[in-house]
Amino acid sequence: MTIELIVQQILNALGLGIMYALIAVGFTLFFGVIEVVNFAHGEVFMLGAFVALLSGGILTSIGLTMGSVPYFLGILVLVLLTGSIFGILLERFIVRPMRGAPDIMTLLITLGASIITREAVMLFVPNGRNPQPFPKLFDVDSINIGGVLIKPETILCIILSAVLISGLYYIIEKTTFGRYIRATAQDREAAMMMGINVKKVFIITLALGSALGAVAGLMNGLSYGIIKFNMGFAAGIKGFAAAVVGGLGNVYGAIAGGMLLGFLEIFVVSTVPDGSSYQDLISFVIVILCLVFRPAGIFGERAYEKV
Amino acid sequence: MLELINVFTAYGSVPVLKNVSIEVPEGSITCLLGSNGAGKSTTINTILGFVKPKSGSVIFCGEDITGKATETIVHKGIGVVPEGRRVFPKMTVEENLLVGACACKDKGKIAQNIERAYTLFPRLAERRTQNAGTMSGGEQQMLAISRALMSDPKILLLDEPSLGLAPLVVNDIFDTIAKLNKDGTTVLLIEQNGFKALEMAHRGYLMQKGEIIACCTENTGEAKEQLKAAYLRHHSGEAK
Repeated sequence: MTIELIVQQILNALGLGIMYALIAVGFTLFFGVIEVVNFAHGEVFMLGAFVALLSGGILTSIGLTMGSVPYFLGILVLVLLTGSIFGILLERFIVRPMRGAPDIMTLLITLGASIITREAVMLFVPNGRNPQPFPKLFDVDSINIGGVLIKPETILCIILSAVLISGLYYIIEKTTFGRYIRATAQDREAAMMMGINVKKVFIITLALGSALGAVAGLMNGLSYGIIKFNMGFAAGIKGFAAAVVGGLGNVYGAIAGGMLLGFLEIFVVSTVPDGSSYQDLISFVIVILCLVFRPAGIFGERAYEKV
Repeated sequence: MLELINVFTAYGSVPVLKNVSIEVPEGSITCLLGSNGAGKSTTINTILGFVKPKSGSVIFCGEDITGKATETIVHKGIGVVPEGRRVFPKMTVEENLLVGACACKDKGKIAQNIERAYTLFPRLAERRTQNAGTMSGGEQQMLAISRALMSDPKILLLDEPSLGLAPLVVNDIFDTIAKLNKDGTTVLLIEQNGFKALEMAHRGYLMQKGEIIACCTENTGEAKEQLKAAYLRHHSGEAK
């Protein structure tokens, strides 16, 4: 393998890993702060991709040129909004009514919500049953930098994710509300005794995590050029795997877990003969290995640090 | 300032508080004594709205706060030092204090209150960037008290502040409570081993099996002796 090819694969792995990281962050936030495992989280990924696809048409019809900066920002805002709204609805109709119910019930209901969302897209989006081509944002297929062929979408995704993850870091670590989120994760009752509105913390947490998941869906559409109503399932499993690897409840662990998963997948795909058929298997193997040998995540005990 | 009137509270169908009436007058230290399982923590939980009473009411500053949301109740001016301290372990001392200031919107006031906390407990100032979970029990208790004071509460609820602390530290904590009270904070002090608490209190209630079985509403040595006697009597009675 040449150096150029290795650099190229590293960039691919980075693009894939950061996408998984964005999904995993949601899983880990919901578990850490609200103590729910949200199996509907994969669907927000799919919804993000579909909203991006459908809003593209609307934005061009109001006069924005496809591929221009305002066009892309418009799509991004709509995708973030969709994710947030999905998260808020989840809080209102699943998390809040199920407070105090056994965990398994919440888990099953989120699974139900996931199926409903997926089927609704299949039925109500025109031609939703079939894969949808996702329009390209850039005219060029790839840029050649010193022999390394890079898709401009990959660069865009990496930059966008870095911005979003820095934003999340800032919110959680530096803002007053982020402090309330961490307090709620560490001791919910004590947080309430301090006068923190825990319900509001839950709503914001679900909105934040879901918005990031939706952007991951948009990135998936951009990178692969094709989206399908059932794409949320595999994405959900992988995001969950990454979160488990990083230690559920640990935001930075989830980001590391996503990266690890991305790099492993690309490594297997590019080195093992016929590796791409094993790509989806890797996350399952990792989850099982992790649960058996490092149930607290690869960071060991520190992973129990919630948020 | 804070008053419970004929409060009945139950967890499911199990009654816990039976006809509890407690009054905490403004400027006083009122202490609520009782052994394990007497219903002291349930009393706090009822005041804070974690459990809704079946009947009866909780009045704070002339306002009925029965069954309101916890954050609404706390924002009205109640500072809580929970049982077992419950500081946020993965946050620094300073962050814990900032979370305590949740009910306070004035930034200048918050900065001022942080300085006040560091003056009250210089030990906290030394450890302002240390994670609260790595501190000793006594230091955590200091933090829990400072945290509760961050939003300038009208009343301070302390749930077993002496629990698990060395006797010398307990003395410090009690001295601080007395000092805070002298500076104008009303205190409701809940204690299991409460003779010490009773010494500095203006009022005392004795609780057993969810009922108030004795109280002293006068700040006299005689009344306190009677409450102590009742406490010992019921304590030894339970032991049999």
